Amino acid sequence: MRMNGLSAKTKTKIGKLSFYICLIILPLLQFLLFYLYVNINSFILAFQNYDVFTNTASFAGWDNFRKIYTELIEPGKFEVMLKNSLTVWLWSTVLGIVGAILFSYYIYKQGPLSNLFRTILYMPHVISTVVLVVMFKYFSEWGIPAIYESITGRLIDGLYSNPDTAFPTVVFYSLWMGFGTQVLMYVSTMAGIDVSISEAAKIDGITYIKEFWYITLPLVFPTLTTFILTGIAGIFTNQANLFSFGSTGVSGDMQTIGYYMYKELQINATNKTAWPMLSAMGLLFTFIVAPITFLVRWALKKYGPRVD
Amino acid sequence: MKNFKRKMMKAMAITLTIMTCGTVVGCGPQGVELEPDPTMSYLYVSTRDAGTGTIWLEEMKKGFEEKYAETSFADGKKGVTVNTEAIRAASGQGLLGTLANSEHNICMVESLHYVDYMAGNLLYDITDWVEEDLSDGSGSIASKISKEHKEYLTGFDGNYYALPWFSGFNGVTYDAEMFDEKGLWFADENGYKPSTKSTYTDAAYTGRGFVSAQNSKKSCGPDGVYNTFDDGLPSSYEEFFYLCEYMTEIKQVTPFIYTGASEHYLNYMFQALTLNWSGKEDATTMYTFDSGNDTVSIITGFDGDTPIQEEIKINKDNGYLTTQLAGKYYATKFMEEIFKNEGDYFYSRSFNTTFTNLEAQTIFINSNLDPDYSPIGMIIEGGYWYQEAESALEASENKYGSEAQNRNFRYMTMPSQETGTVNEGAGKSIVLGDGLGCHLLVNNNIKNNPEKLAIAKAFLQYCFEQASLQTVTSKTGMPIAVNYDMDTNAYGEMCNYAQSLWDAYSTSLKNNSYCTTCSGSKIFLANYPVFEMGTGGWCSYDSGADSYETVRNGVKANLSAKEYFQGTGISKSSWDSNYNIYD
Repeated sequence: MRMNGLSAKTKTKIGKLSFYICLIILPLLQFLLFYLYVNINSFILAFQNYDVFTNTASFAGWDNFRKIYTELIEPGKFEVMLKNSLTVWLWSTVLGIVGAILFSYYIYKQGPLSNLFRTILYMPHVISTVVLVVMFKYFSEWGIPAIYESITGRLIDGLYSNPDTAFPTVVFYSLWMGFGTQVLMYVSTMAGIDVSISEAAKIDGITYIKEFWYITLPLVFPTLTTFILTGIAGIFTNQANLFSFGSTGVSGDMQTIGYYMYKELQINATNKTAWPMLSAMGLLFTFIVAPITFLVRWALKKYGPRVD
Repeated sequence: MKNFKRKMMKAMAITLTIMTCGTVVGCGPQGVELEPDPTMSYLYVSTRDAGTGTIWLEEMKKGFEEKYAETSFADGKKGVTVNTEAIRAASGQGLLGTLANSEHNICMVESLHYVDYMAGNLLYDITDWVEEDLSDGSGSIASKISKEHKEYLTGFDGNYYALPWFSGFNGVTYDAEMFDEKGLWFADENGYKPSTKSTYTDAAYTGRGFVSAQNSKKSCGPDGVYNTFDDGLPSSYEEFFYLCEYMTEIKQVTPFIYTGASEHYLNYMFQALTLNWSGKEDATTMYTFDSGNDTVSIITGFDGDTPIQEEIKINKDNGYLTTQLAGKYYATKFMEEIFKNEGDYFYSRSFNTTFTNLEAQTIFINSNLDPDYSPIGMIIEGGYWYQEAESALEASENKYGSEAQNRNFRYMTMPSQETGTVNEGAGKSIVLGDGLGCHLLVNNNIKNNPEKLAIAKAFLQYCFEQASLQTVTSKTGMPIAVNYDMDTNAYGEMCNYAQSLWDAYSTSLKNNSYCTTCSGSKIFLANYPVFEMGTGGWCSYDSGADSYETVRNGVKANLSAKEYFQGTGISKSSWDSNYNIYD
């Protein structure tokens, strides 16, 4: 039926298209501006030098990449930062995933105090990161020494003030922070498992551990894969909340690669001569971590547990 | 039910839309009034919301509005209202992204990264305003600025785009009342020596003893002149540590307190030590990379642990050597010794990373009044700390009454020799250097607005009139980094601490020992964060594998003073490829 020169079907189509465009335009603009443009600009910046007096950039070839070698790799700074980055990744991602899965399974199985655990693990995520770091710092700097003193009568330094315990404290914080979102995702996925499967397995006399290994884990594996891959992709960008702990003053033996880049950008926010090298670093790490991420994804798909 | 669900969805969609739109309320001028009165002219001035406070701006606003109440800056308008705002982000990098569209016509920023603002074409050329004689007959603004600072301000293209403001020298403040009560001054002669051994040299003590009831005349102090503000203060590192031992062992006084939440504050003391040891001429080369025909004392290496000191002429090709100034080495050695004894020399909570500057100030202020605290002799802080501690001082007065009013806290002159003592005529003037980089600038976005330009010019010139400079210094306690005097009345209005800051500043100006911590060198201008007299960069250790912001962190990592000092250097290859790339 035609109405005002357009059929009802066409009007519906136009309406649906308009709705779709309205919905997609903002995220598309955001993608084009804040992802595509920024990354292309960053790519170009990595091959430039900047003259602050003439406010002009010139082609620098591989100079910025050479600077990464002479200023970071050759003096040994990169080695320390890489070690710290991998340590944070190992504890907060690898062990964090294992811990989160086990906690999630416990909550899924409604063990004693499971709701309390769920609240404790997710609570940090409803509070601002900066506020949480401040609270955690106060507890580790005052609370724990006070508790220790009341038990043993001995005075100790705050956990973050003490150089021997500072980095482990930061790593523990990263591990603890990682639990909340993961537990939420895994528990939701586990809740979606058909009850009849678990009941049938129980009738067959399956133990909790076997049920976890043969039924639960394969079913949550896609979610698990997401966290593994984002963890790997974030090895070089994870600053482990170091900036919230120590601003730009974190000592070199604690710095991760992600913190170093963030800190350098903070210090040089107005010093454009420093930006090209930082862009080059970002580009270099992308070229390293991207293939590793794809490789791990392929391996997980090929060798990971299957539902069937 | 279906109808209800549809209505709920609609209501949620509308609510979310309103909430999203609500976020754009954040756009537009922040906290700045519009111009409600069409018969009035307006000027918008911002300052940094930090230790330097807002009192200076309130005073300038009051005086300026009064002076120009009957002046017309545009047709149909009379008088001017100055709208002020304190912005936390008003330090070098904070305003770079917002200044172009800001309503603020004049801004006071700390740590001004001059060249970055110039490169962004953000600053108005105020050369004509600066070179014009002021209406109070005190000369032009340019005539009050030091030669070195002029070279910095005109270093970009020969014109002025900013003006110096506070002289933010930092270091150690001591409680002179406590020094009086506890007899912590060094005596002129025959002083009390509780020990014959020097903890600094681990050998026989060669400094002076302390005053006593029978022997109250103070020594001449580090400047070697009697009856000046540094009488009785330690005149050598050896005497300084002797004092610390005397405080801790006998007088039950804790020597130091500082804020562990801002570990880099320890470098305030490092700044003061380096400047005083090096002297103005040597210290200046850290910014100019040019000593002319003079030589500079540089540590070129070590023979074991003994520094090899040479006198070297500095130019832009060997400017990296200024990172190895002899004065910096001895400052490092002093700091190393302090932190080897940190358990005895510091208030116990100082090293806690949550111990804030305000807490440290409060405890320092009350330590000699409150029986719950052990008295604390000195605080490591910026020169601006007294303003920051306004609430704590007020609370102390409310609690303790008259004995807490106008406390006799004073800025401490640091020693400039290792051992022995300074006798009359053999001392050195105090050396100061600005560590805050405070500047006034005019927003280039008013360049096409004659009315705003006229008012901005009048305001800027007003700020540099003699009476205004005196008012700002009197009310804030902080000197302005230009040449001027304080008359007797203005000086008399200042509290003890502010007077001590002025005494130090005016003495350094008089004796030509005020180090302008900036220069027109392109190497300096292009690499301000690296070379500024801040609390990072120049005084931080970076060996490649490790980096430490303070000597204390280095000591905790078992670095010696020699190792830490060498780690603050820049290599020739790095200098040639990263810094010495300008003609």
